[in-house]
Amino acid sequence: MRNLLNFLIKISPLLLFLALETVAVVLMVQRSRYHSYAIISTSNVVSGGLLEASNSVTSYFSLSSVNERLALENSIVRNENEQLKSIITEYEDIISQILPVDSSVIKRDTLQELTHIPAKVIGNTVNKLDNYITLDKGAEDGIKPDMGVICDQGVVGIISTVSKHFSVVLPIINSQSRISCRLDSSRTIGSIVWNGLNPSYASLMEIPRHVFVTKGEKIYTSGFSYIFPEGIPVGVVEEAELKESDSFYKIKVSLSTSFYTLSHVDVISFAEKEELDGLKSVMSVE
Amino acid sequence: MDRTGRYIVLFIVLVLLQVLIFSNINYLGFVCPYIYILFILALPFGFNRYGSMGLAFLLGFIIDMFSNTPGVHIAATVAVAFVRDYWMDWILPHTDVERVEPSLKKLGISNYLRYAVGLVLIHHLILFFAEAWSFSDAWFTILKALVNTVITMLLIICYYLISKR
Repeated sequence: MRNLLNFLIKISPLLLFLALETVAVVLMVQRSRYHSYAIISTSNVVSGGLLEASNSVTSYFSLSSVNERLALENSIVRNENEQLKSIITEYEDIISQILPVDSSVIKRDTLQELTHIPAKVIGNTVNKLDNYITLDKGAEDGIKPDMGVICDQGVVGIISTVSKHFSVVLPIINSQSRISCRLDSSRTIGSIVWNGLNPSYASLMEIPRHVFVTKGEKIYTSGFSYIFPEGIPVGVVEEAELKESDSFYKIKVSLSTSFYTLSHVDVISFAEKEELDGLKSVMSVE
Repeated sequence: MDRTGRYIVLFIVLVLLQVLIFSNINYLGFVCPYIYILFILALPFGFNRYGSMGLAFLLGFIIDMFSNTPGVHIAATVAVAFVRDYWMDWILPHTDVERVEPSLKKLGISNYLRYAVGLVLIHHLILFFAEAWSFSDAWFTILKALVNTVITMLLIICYYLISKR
């Protein structure tokens, strides 16, 4: 008995070491279910708050270039808005000629399908295998897991963890990310994945060999899920390789979003998403 | 300032340096020094092993919190805290080291490098393999660990050149 006790005392540092490592491994295994941890992430109050404070200082350095980009985007959106307005009035005229009813009845009934929630990037990594982006908006601002995130250049990623005031994005440049998108000319659907090396490039998978792929072709979101609307730019085909034995292309994509200089993003909230999710959960239960 | 106070300050300074500056370095896509491990290296020799592993756990937990990598930094840092005493006995067996705070000036450059390089390499290897969570690109992961060990060591040497101790 005494020998056993002595032995246990002698190896107790080893036991503590093994216990702590087990905790670490359990945490690591659980990370693949990326919704499950909110405490050990930048969305918690301590780390999110510190990142926000640090960002409030460092964001001044990039202010002028950010302003320029926002002004450019503003003018593009304003032009688009004018065009859409003129198209709408044109259609209204046509409708009022055909139908004898008041056209405002038809117009007021349309529901806004999606809303953009603007957010600021307060934490961002690009050099890891699993990169994450932290935003300064959270559940209180209407952000929920699985919402799409875009910026003026294109797709950024998908919301993974949300706390009250912060949220964490799983960007394209995370090895766990997988975003559905389509080729511009053939409209073939594939998914974009990242190989963990260069934050400017990713791979487009599942494009079958009968499709004709050209270099420089644009890639957009498919719009098949209520995460991204259709037609948000993802990237451009940089290289398309097809070996004799392969049934799918190996496509290198130059991403349209520059993850190095990310500062302001939009989170996309679909009005019908909850309805669709509810439907899916009902289906999976039955 | 007494010794405990100094270590608390070192802990906070290293965490802030790591999460606010060094974790944001993105040179060539894979250069990222992990300077915070200096805290475990700088603990006095003969320091309570449960204490050093507990501190390593806390340190790893905080860094994990800021980098969205649950468990990865905990595993690497706790391993260094556990191995450190054995490593010390093996690398510098005949020095009278009881309660000495290991630093570049106290151990001398060659002894300190022998002490620190091995531990930093162990830390980085565990860290990058835990992050990759596979052995498929093993050579790339090892290369990453080696390159970043060199950079972390240069930063540690810079720290000792700037500080008075």
